[in-house]
Amino acid sequence: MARKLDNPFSHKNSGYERPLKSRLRRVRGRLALAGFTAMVLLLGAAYRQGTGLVTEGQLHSKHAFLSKDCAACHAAGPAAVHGDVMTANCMRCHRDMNAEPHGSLALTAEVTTGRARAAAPETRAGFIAWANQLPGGRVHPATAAGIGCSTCHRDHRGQDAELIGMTEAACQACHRSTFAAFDRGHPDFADLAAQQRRQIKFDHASHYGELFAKKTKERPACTVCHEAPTSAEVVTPRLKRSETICMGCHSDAVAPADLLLLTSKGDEPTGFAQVAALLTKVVKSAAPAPDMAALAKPGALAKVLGAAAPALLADGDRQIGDGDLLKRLAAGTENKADPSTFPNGRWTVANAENEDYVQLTYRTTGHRDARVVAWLAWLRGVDQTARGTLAGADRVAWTKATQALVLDLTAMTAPTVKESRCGLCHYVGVDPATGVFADFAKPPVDRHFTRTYSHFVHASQAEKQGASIDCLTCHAALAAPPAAPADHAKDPRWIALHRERLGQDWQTIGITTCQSCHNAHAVRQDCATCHQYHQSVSGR
Amino acid sequence: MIVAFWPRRLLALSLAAVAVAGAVAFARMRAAQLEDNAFWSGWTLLAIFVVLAVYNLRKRVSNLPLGTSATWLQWHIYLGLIAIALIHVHIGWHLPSGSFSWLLYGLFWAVSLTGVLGLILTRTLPHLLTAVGNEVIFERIGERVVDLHDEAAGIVQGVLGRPEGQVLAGFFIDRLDPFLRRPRWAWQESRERWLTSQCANVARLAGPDLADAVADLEEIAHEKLLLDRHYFLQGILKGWLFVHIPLATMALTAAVYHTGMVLWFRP
Repeated sequence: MARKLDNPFSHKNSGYERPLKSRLRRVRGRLALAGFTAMVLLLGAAYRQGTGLVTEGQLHSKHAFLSKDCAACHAAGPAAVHGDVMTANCMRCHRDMNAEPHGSLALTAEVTTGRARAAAPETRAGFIAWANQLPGGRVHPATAAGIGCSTCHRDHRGQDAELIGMTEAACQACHRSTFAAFDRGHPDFADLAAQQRRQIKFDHASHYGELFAKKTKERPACTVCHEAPTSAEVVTPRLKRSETICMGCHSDAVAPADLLLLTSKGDEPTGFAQVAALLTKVVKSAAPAPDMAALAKPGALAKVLGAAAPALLADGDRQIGDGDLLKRLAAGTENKADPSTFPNGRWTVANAENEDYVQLTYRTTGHRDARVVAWLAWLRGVDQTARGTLAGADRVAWTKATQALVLDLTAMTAPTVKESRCGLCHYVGVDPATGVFADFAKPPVDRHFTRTYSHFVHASQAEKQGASIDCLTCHAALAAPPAAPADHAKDPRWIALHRERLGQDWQTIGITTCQSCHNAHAVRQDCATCHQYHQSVSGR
Repeated sequence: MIVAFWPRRLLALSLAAVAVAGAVAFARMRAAQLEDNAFWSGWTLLAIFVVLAVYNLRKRVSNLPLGTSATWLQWHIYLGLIAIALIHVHIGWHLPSGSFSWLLYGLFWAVSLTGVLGLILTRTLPHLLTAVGNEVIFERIGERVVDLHDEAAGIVQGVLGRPEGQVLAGFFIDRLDPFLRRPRWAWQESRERWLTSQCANVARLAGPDLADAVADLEEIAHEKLLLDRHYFLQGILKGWLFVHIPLATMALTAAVYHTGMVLWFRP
């Protein structure tokens, strides 16, 4: 059978392409264009549908609800409008967190030394200057100026990525070359703790070692005064109420006492009586407003007190200017008639019929008299205002006057008494440099230093290791009084505040105790183990 | 000054290594100051991407005095290697997270790996081509095969008048024509053995009168086999770019999109 050969011999249907160079390039070009088009279409469609494809990295699970709303955190638009917008957006939710470096520029200053308080850097520029003058402090201005939340907390790294952890390298971006690690050169705690004000001037050594022992014939347990720490405790175990501990011996020091407010006969009144006299004049000459210039005696002091008079007259004292009030007070009817007007101590007036010689006395309720505390707070406010305007001799005179006022207020007797009864335990007084201080409240714990310390956890860990620890394991009594730190030797406020502590107190925990576990070979020792970068605005 | 091949490569590699080490050290120094590394490394990467992409355009404008293609290729290779390190500086030595980040990262690695693969191919396949012998331009292989087909067809047509010519025609139609019509690069050795046995069979059936014709057809078939080997190897040499370039285009597009997003939603 003959075969048909025509078509098979033709090469029209050859399987070979004839790829000329230009054709190859054309095909590659089309493929590239196809790739570009595919990406544009893909991203465009994803963007329009708002899918996760277009987001830059997955947000942390805590921020997952923001994954489709970039502008919730980022400032959308041209670069000119960015700046600190993102940090501000962070703070919209994290309101209780201080965004400034350490968050402690104000709080730390409040709870630490007078030196720090005086140098409290409230701005970034201030922070840089303050940090740079510290030993080893070298804060790069650009770094400090650019610190925002995202400087350390980098999101878009996955829902389980580390977001709040802090590396030592991050800390040492500013804290450079001071020491290599916690177990290699960290400053001793004693220097740090000595700067911390306590709530009361308590002398552990004399109380624990002598006074208690005399009374109980044996040394009491720490838990007589301190509540046993629990897992929720941080560094300082809570002190039991002072009424149940301190008043056992010190009840006489806080008993109700007379506070002479006004003596208007003879020479110019002094001390708090001077204030009261001035205020009485102010009130009596009221309507229209008192002529402050007429009250400018003695000098600038009267001006300031006169300007502050309305503040002193707040609360029940507003009726001091009522002429009949003194008579009612003298008759002893006012306190009974309207206790709500005078909710605190008892007022008495001597010789009320003769306005040329009248004595106004306030009898306190005893410990925690709210009126005395309020007057001290008022005086502190007036003092701060005055110090902003007074200088030279006026400032010296003002300081002496306020010292007398504070003494009168806290002595709670006639001005002849020269010892402050409040000041026996509380930090109350006048610092020539910084003015009136009256710190009754328990100072907020500086959480910068006490991030996660727990007595409970440490004790239980020690037990697991077969060690038995009690309070005295770490908190040893001082064998000899410590010397004042050299950098505080000329700081009168520090000395005023810590005078008693310089004599006797508990020894601050030694760093070697901590280093026995927290070192390169055992428990973690990075900065964030103990230090807290942020502090809450509330100080908690 | 002409520098020998290996010293030149070592010098280039050393410079690339120094560049990478410098970038890593710079990033570490900035990180120690809490400075961000994403922006400078990102812009650098984008610039590198653009330079790498321009190489493809450069080949299309060979008449412009922009340096030799070989020089561009060297820059392309070493900048690509630097980019592999730099992208990890850019993302902080973490794996990316999120669909887009993975897409961009995946595209980058796809482009990089196809590039490295292409580099390996362009360094190894020419040696194989040399071993094949019979230097042929890829674009002319098709024409040459058609010529061989036509030549074989002519040989068969020339013997159709002879009594055993039908045997040769049958062999051509059933065996040789399909073989000559399209590339046959798979199983080259077995195909060679197949061709030899087929030709031996047809020579025995066609008899001594057509021995010369059969020998000519066998020679054509073997030449076509060599051309197929060239077609295969040179096809790979040119074909990997069909993967590399579209991927590179996609990666560059995604990178530009990424840059735009970051600039628009800048922290």
